[in-house]
Amino acid sequence: MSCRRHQDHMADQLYGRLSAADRAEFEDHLAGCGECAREFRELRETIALATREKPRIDTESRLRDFWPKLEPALDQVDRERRRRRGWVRPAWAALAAAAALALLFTPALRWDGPNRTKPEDPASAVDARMTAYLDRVEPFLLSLVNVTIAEDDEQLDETIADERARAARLADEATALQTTLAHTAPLSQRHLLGDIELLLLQVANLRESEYRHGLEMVRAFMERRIILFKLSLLESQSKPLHQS
Amino acid sequence: MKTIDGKDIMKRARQGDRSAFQILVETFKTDLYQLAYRMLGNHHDAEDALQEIFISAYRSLANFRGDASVGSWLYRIAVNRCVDFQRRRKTVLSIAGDGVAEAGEIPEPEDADPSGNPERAHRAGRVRQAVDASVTMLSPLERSVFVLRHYQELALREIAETLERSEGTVKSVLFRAIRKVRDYLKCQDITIEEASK
Repeated sequence: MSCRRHQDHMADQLYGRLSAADRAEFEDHLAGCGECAREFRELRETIALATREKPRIDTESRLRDFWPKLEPALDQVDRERRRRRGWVRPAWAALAAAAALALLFTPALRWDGPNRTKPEDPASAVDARMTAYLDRVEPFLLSLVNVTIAEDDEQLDETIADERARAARLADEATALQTTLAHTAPLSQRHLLGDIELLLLQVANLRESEYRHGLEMVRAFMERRIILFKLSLLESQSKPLHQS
Repeated sequence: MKTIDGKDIMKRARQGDRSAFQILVETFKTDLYQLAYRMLGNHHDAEDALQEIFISAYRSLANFRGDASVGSWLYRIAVNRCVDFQRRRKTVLSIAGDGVAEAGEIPEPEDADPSGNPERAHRAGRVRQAVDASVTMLSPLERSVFVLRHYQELALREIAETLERSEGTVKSVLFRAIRKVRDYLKCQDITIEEASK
């Protein structure tokens, strides 16, 4: 029997997991193999030494006032939760209201009666390619806003890899679309595309170890540039009003 | 690993019962502090890490699925936080020195007998420092498994549950870690004979 097979037995024997039959076989091997016998003895002694020398800690005095120190931090978590719950709903309500107002006051989109032809306004027209892109990118941006990452999410690495890949693809599309629409789309739309591209590139380049923090930065950027609001407004401009 | 009636406590804590969460904290704070100290090597980081561990746990109460014990769930959070800490930290500190030991200085262990032989105390300090240093050389996963098994005295099955890995993987990682520790001690000319003196 080879020494390689006995490496597995060695690990099991060190932690008392070897069956009686395998143990007898392993001990036979050790009796005839000086190298394995030395290895086994050294590892067993290392475990004994490491266990004996483990750092001993006086936790009593250090942790006596732990709860009073922790409680303010838990209060802070509760306050953040309440603020987030209280903030998100009005923010979305305000967004919807603003979009509706924008619709009412955008001349190009206002419906003035059945006989009136809607005038073409190149400043507010939205290219169909832009509309199609917005339809793809909006759900992704909303998912960035709404996602919560559990501390013990065992599939976090896969989730992050997936999000980064999606962000990279959408960023490429934004880059290409900016080139395509460079001379036709209004400046405000090109600026929005630029902001979205930048944001997606940030997500595509987030490192796993800094994902949570990075996501917060991305959200702050979205909020600062009111990207979701602009996106919603543009989307509403791109869809014709239904006549009653 | 400590055990408590996890389902009831977690249910109450999830419903916002702060006293239930306090029971969790009081039950596990000592174990988790020791784990953090042994992973991070100094009291300052261990204290910060312990706060972060329980804040993370508090934030994640809703994610506790109940398919692992409360202890395993908390240990998993603790290991992840400590590994994050290790990554953030720029320098590797000595476990025994509380992070303030100067180069060449042999820190005294907390349980050293002050009335003992100074030469013997110095030798013991050297051995302990070498063991501590060998553990800091391990990868985050090896270090986690090593500390959980040999310092926290968790069974391989509990470690597997905590780290959500198979027992076979845990055993392989542990075996690799022990070999690395052995090799490091050999490089430092630490032998079991010297350590036993």
